[in-house]
Amino acid sequence: MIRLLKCEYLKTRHCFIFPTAFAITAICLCWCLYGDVDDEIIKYGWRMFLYQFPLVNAIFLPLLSMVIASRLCNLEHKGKMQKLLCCMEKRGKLFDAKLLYGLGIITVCVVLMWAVTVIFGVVNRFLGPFPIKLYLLYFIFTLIPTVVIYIFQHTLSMLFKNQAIAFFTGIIGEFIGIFSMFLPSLPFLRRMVLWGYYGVLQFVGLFGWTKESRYENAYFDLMPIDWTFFCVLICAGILLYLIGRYLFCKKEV
Amino acid sequence: MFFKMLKAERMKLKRSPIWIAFVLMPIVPAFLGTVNYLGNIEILQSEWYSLWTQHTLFTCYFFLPIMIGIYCSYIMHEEENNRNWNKVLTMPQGRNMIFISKLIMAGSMILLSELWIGALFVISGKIVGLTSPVPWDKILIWCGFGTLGGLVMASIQLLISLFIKNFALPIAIALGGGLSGLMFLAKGFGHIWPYSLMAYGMNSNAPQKIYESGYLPFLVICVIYIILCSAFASLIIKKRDI
Amino acid sequence: MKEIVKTNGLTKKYGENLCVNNLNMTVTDTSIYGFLGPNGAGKSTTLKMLLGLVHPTKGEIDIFEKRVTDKNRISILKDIGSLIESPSYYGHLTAKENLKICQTLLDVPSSNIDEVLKIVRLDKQQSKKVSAFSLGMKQRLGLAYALLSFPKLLILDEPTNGLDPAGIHEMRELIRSLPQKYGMTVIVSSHLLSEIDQLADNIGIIANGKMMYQGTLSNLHDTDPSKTLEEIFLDLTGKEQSL
Repeated sequence: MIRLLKCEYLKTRHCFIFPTAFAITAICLCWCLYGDVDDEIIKYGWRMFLYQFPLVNAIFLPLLSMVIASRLCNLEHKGKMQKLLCCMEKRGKLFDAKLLYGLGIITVCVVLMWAVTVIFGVVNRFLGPFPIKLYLLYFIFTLIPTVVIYIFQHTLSMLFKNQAIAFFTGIIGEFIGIFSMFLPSLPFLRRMVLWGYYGVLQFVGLFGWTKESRYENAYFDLMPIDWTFFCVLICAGILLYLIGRYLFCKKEV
Repeated sequence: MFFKMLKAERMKLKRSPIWIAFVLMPIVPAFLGTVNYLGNIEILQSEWYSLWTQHTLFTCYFFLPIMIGIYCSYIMHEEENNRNWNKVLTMPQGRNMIFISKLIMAGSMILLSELWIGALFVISGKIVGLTSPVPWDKILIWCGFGTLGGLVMASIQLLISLFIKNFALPIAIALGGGLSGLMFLAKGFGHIWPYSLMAYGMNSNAPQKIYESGYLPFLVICVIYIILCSAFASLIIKKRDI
Repeated sequence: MKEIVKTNGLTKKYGENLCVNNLNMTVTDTSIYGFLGPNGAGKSTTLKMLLGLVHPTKGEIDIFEKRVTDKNRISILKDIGSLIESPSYYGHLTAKENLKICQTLLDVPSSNIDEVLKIVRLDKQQSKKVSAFSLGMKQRLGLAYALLSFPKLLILDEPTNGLDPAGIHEMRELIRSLPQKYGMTVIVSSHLLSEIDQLADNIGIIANGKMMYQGTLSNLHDTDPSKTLEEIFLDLTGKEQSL
């Protein structure tokens, strides 16, 4: 496996895969953290971030997955490499190696985003101690949906030479996912699509917001965590992986 | 001559299932936007216009820009694949028209999806039971201007895809563009920044609304962008060695 | 004589379309097998089935006297080098970097890279990006991949595509030398009889998915001494097409 991962690294030299990933991460961070830091943010900062960031993640992380997955897989399609590689190594292993490499890149980006957010909070002296437990949970709840979405995108990009298919499927899914986060009245919707799980696993809510007083009496508080659907998500991820791997092994090159 | 080229462009897209995405995509905001509208009916009181905002808000900031990005990337990538440029550039046709015919293809796709968005909007308005008359004239203007703004975006994306030979990168740029569009719109530059023009033209958000006095400047700016991009792209196609 | 490749009733159907029909193919050890047939006869599909790139609808394949199954496919493929249709490559990498990837995958010494680059005469262009290569150079790179592990069996699908006359001659000499020099068995396909007749020990002629003839060239000539080889070839392939 190490040998195959080394190959993946060799393949991606000179093609700016890491800069692309970091550029998208940087845009996302700018989007999150740009703006004046007022008293409100200092006071509620830690929880406010946990309330706001799932939405931003739902916008950027699926896109990051799409771009990275397509970039890695298109290399093979472009040079018709699959027919050569499939004669050298088990297809399942090729599938896994590329998946692992991509997941590595994605994980680095998620860790980076998480770390910068935390540092931002510490530097700006957000009130109260750093809620490490909540942030670790948040990290897991960001990473797992992204990993599952990446598996899905990876499968599409590997199976179809035409990368537009992977992109369009991904973008429509993401669209439903983001919309579902604005529709708390339809909780089943976000549980139905992978892209909605950033919302399902959001565990800080805004309470006390009314039309009249607006943010006057509003406060952030913890909500119960939907562990059942966390498990559903993990199962979906495993299932998607197995199906994708099976289809790739069956595919004629 | 030019029509032949358009016909050829259309034939190239035959059997590529991309249009399905443009048909499916607007259904998402139409359905979910309507549900959201019904859920917040006491806050959203300007009937048709409120519903329109619900339908188009995310569409024109995020999704249509990215879809246009994918579409343009696809159109250009087809030529990049299998050395098709060699063939295209040796056809006895003017090279100026290559970019423009591609832009028209993208434009017609945008127009179709705008009309589809408009149709879905009217249908869902009727289903919701809005009593005031359908603002046909407004819808047509919104969709028409949206198409024009979309064309600006498409011409820039095509230009980017002409430079960047890879498929995914222009799409990432389209995302950045869409977000920058939102930012410039909020800062009050919505009428100048190319990536804001679509959202601006579609009147998707009340505070940055386009007023009747602004129609002409909007048209002029869109046309200037399109002409600039086409001229630049045609120049590159002419001068570049394959 | 050992049979390196043996297929039994190999069949591939795409929908209703019979692409390869009940093909029996036998390739003997350290020989050159010429696989002849007009365009679209099913040559590439057959070779792809040997390599496991395409799944047969029916029939068995034995390579190195072992039945090929999904389980042992990779261990068998370790001893096969192949070049199918157009060459594979990563355009953004140099020739050497491309070979480095395959060398890592195949787990062979890195000195092999320089050796094969020299064999296919790409050693002077090894640090050029492959996207800037001409078709002939890409074809040479494809051959370099195939030779990289100095395999026991080499499968080459129209290897002279895009080569200049000198290149074709060179390629022919190279292929001819492989059995003696490295003990390789070579299957080489072509649609040109003239390319094969100076090269192959045995030939197989395929038309419309059916094996029309298999054996040595002189035996083929003996079937109808009044005609030239070219005429017999055209007869064999044309007969099937008119059916």
